[in-house]
Amino acid sequence: MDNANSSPRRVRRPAARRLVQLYSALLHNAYLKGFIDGEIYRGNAKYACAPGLNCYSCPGAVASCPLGALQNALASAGHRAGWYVLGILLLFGVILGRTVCGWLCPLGLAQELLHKIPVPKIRKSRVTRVLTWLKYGILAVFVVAVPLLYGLRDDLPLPAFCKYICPAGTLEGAVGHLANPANSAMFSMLGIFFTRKFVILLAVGLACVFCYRGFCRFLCPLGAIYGLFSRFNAIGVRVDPDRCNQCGACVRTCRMDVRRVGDHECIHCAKCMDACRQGAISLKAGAIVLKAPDVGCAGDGPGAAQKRRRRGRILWGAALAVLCFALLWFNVLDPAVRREAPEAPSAETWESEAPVGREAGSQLADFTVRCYDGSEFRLTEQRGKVVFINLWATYCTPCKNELPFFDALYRERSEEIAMLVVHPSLVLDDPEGYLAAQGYSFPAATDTADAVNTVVGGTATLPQTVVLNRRGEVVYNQVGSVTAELLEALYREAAE
Amino acid sequence: MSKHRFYLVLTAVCCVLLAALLAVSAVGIYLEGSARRAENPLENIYTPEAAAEKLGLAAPLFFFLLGLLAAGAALGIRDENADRPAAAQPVKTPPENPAWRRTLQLVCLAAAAALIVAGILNGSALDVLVKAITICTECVGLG
Repeated sequence: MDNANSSPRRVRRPAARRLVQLYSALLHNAYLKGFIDGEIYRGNAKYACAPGLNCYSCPGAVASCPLGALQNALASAGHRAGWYVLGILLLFGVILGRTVCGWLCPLGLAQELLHKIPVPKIRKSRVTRVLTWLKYGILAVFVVAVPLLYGLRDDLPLPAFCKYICPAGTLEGAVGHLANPANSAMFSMLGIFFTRKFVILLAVGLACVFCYRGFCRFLCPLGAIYGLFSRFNAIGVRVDPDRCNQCGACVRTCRMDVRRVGDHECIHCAKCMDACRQGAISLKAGAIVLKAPDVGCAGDGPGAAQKRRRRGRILWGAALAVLCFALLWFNVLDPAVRREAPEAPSAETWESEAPVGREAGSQLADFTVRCYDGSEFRLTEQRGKVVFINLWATYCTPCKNELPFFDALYRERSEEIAMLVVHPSLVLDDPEGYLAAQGYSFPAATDTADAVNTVVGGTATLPQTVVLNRRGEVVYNQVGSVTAELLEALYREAAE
Repeated sequence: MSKHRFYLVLTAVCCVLLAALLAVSAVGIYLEGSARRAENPLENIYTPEAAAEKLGLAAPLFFFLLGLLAAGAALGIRDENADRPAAAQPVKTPPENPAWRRTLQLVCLAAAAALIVAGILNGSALDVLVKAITICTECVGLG
């Protein structure tokens, strides 16, 4: 029977897939507390990568983004090989492949919802098919070549895709934080980066309204990676060659730019099952049928459908239990969430009458750290000087980029200012070795006891700069990059 | 032009206008803020007030679009063209070789497990955690 010229028997709503997508989006972002507090989840679950494209700087994200992790692993290739991320990607690829895109990716869900806006749609064509190769170029240049080049040549971690393109990062990481009034201080660091990425986000969003999964089809390097496994991923749509009559209805009704069911453009959404009147297509995990055509699978017994329904109910029950546990764990039970914010110690010997605090106008509490050169830096001993405190890390590119400004200022005004450059207690590489290699002269330390971090109110965001006037009062305490001009202006303001 | 077609075009125009308005607003805030910062490096380029003001300008269009969408949803209007099958294209027969597929899957699974263990041992798993629990301001587009 040829179904090339006939319409599908009926339009089946992809209710199950939509539910799985919503479920996955919620599971990817199970730290709901983060949306209220405006902070990110900092627990051990972030050792694991999530399968879909979901920015790990999203306030709700409970796992790492595989694409961000891959870029950072390549950028750190000079220090250690990123076997872990490669293993994770291989695991997801061989088990799920692009089934991740069709069923699990939160950004995929967002694109499909945008595409529901009723406007004249751009349908797939030869042009769109050619455009699908763009994502492989983006993968090669922005995800692999640039991070690798900058990592090996300059020892600068530069996740180029995240920095220049990723709309998930802009939407979840940037807008997600800015939308929370608790993060209003973050507005101070917005500039050209945000403007550029916001415009890209709008363009991608608009493209998705007109073009089905515009980002997924043409730009997403994660989809390109998973597409490499299309010939042997375990879970996906399969065609029964004995039933297929090669009418091509599956390919014609598919909105992705596929040449055949299950190829590297196929996201295994299983919508083609509705178009196939032969019942040749089914969604399978190995030999197990996850979704069978209405016409019936080869070898189906009379009770097979009932058995599948029962299995589906059990699976949904288990999934619901997992979701409830995840929400409970990530929002209430996880020790990383339950950790109380440490109280700042009280001020001791500043001459100021200002209250103790971290905000501009208050005086900073005292702390002591041991510097790399063996000396001790005690804050209250810097009385009478303008104090600059910079929080940086070896794994933070903007932090490394601004260190020369601090060094230049310190060399120029070492008599009038006190400076401390502090690395967090979480050390990956050798911060002391890095600073020595760069020839920086300012006092620096690793904040092993989190004393500085506690006093200045350090968050998960780097870099952070704190400037105190001669009385120990906070003039400036903000996250984000600084420039030489800003440092000079801050000095002048604090020195008045 | 039919009413149906008119609705679709109107919605499309609203979407494009809204996106353009937001983009122009962002660029406008940036240009104004940059000029202020050139005079005083302590000035912020973006401020919550400026953002709220520009969002306020886009709000009427946004709510008009929402109303359009609600009306369209109530009337069941959608672009039928989107579901029309594409023109006939050459169909490739899916290559099926279960034995080859299974072997490759097992090899890849074993390699993935070995890589993950090697990654945990060489510290690259810790790299992933550290990057994930620290917000890289440049990476997410904050600046």
